[in-house]
Amino acid sequence: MQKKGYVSFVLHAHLPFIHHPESDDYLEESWLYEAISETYLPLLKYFKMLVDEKVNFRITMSMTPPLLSMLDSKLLQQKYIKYLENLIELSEKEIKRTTFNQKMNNLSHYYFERYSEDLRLYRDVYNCDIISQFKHFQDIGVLEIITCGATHGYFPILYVNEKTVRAQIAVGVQTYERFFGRKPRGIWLPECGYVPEADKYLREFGLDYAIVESHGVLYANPTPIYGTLAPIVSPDGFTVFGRDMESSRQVWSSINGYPGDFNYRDFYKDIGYETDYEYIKPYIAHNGVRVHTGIKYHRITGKTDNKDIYDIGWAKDSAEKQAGHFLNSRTNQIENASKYMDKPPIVLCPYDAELYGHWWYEGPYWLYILFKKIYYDECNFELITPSEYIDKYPLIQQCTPCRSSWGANGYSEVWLNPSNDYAHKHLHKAGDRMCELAYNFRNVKSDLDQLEYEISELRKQKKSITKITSTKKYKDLKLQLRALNQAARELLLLQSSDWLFIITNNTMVDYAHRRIKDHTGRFTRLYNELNSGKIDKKFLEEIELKDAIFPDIDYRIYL
Amino acid sequence: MPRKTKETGENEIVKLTNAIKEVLSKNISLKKDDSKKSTSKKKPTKSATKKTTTKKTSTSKTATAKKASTSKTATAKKATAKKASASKTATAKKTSTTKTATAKKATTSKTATAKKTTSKTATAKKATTSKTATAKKATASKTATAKKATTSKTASTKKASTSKTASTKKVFAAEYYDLPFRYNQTVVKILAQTPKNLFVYWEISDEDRSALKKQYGEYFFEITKPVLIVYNETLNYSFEVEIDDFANSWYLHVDDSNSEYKVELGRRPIPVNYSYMPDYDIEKNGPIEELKTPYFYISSSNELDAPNDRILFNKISKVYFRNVKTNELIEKDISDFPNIYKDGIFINIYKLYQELYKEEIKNDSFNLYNPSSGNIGSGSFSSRFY
Repeated sequence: MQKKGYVSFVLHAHLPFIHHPESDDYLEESWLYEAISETYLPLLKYFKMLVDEKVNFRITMSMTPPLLSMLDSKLLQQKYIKYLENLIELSEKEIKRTTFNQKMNNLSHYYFERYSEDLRLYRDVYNCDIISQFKHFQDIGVLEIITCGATHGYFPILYVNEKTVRAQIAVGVQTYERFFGRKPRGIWLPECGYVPEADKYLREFGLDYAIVESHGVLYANPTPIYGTLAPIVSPDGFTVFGRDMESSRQVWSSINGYPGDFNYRDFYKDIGYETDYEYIKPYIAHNGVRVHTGIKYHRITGKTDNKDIYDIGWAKDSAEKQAGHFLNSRTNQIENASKYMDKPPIVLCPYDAELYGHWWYEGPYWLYILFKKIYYDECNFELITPSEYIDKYPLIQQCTPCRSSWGANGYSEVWLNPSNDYAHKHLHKAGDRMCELAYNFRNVKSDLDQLEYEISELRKQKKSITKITSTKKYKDLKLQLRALNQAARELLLLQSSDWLFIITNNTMVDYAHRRIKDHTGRFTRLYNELNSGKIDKKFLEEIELKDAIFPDIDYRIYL
Repeated sequence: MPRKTKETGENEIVKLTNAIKEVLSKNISLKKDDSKKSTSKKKPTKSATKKTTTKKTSTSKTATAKKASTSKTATAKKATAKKASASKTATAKKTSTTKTATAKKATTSKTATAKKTTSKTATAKKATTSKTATAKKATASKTATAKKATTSKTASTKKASTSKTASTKKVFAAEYYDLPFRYNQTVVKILAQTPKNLFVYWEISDEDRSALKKQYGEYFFEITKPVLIVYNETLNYSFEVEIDDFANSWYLHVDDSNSEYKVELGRRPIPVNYSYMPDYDIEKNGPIEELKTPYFYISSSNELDAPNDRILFNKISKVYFRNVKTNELIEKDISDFPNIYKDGIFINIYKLYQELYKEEIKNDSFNLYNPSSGNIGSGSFSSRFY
């Protein structure tokens, strides 16, 4: 069949930075472990299968700096291994417990094998380094990895101080380069929050494009003549792709979307809640609260509490049928759209990566089957990444995109409402103060660099360096630099859109409030200590260990 | 009850807060902790009375209390105004409640943090010591206070150093922070919540308050009321919203999206009402004169572009294209697009969009309930962990 257009899958992989060396009691840390087991490892597995089967495919993923930092953390890597060992032990017990029920017993064996395989891959094959695995697929050209704001800070709230938006972008790009050894071409705007004021900074750091919500393109000025079926470029030269609505609904909708299929695994029925307390106690939260373990035996079944046992074969059948449906829908959509266009339409399908595998357990398999179908079956489109599309069709209509987000009702209500609006003045004030610190202490880094240079010269001449290193000036500068950089980290962590989201969503509210307070508090204390010239070294050391993100940050990004 | 000037009021509040803190901590320390996991009890030392365990839930309660009193929505406006006019005496009380709530929160959360550390060390200790010591002894060490695990350098450190965990795992100092109540700055900031709802927050610094009082009299704030003037700079009109002195933020509804807005904080004179200033001695100082100036400027906000909320143009004649490789800008006439401009008839953009998005467009506007993980409770499949 003649190719008339393109489909582009963009998976946004993100988790907020949750890193607590001070305690094992934070349930929130397990988000990372679940995401690795249920989403990131399955995606890697299917990417590899597609490559091995010589299926030509393209996919785009954003991997946010907090996620990369957590995947890179030695502490969290060790904790993840413990998490897996624990699950393997539990599934062994499950094999014994379920001997009376053949269907359940088969699943117990499946979980045992699956988690054992995870452990083998993660520890022995990947050497705990998942990032390099994703990098590999980018290097061979099937995956395009894009970056994100440093800590997923929501631009429409931060931009009242544009420097804080610039810093989010700068650190996002720097982190990407550190892990992937090249510059990113695209960025996932946190929450798809678009403001035209950010374009100049996005361009400054070499970024070409972002994804915006549908009306970010449809309500642009002037009105785009291809709708969301082609990108638009802003007057500052930044390209945006609008989210396709039809394909969004097919996958996302909890009512009639694919993930609701009755054969799929039920997310909520988990042995963490269903088995004897004494039996499950070693595998739930440290404080004894029942939580999801990841071992689930039931399928969605229907609108009933009486759930059937999950059948992997049936679930795969459903995934295959739905992949066929998606393929047909896109073929029809592209057939229709191409009648009105003088260049091939692009249907852009962005999703949270964690939708695939974590919530929609069969999602990664669905994606694998779909990509195979696109390659082998009759269809009128190909897969493409946004940057490939730009390179192929560089002539793009110029319009100013509409301020928008992918939150409820399309604007900022999720991140700004009476439940969380107390936080915004602190975000803004800390941002202003960081700029003030960067300005007042602008010479700290260069003065220290000068001294370090002199030290290296002395070393070359084999002379003693203590005449510099023992001076108060040298010690003070070193401490100041650390405090300034840590202040920047605290500010960035404070700006995560996740805290505001959690408060609105009314889930782990106490934790989110606490993070807002902690980062504001740590930042404010550093600010006061820097200004008074009395930096508490012990305090600084401890928060450097807790908020160990962005090791190479340079506070002068706030100048 | 007298309505105090802000400064003295604040001082009192601080004092009160401290007093309450003390009372609270004493009370709590006397209470036997009944939370099931952490069994830390107070130690009869000075340090122990400071940090004890309470239930964590109280934190969230107090947080809500604070929130409720500080953030005012447009709908809350009426209620507040009513309350305000009903009794001004509520002021001091109200602020102090907020403050106490904060103070309480401070104490409770502090202990909550401490609790965590305690339970950890306690359990760790149990594991290591119970091997050698009797069960009784293990329980005894379990009852050690939070303070021990965290800050004190004395006996606790000694004990901790004997336990295995201390040598392998770093022990962090407990941290507790509360958000600054105010920053003592004069500021007005606006953000767009939606194309037609703006959020504004403000604060007046002590210095600016004093300057205003110096210029217009000690009772300037009692004989004026605060207002927000909203300027639509695109369509060149403005309107005024009366606010009250108990609020520090507001949601403003505006009629026009896609416009540039600016908000000004000012004050307007109101009739002198001596019940607001019971300290004032009329016999001695004579009556206070009503201010003649109709408006007093305080501060202005940032400029804000409210988002657009609709398809802008139904018809287009010229279309501009940019080659993103060369940055060359090309002007094209709509007739250059035979698929959109057919047989001399322009398929207007709305019709075109209807063709492209059969299901998604209705009554000239799009259904913005696109499911996504940022779209809570709108039938989207939640894909976030939280």
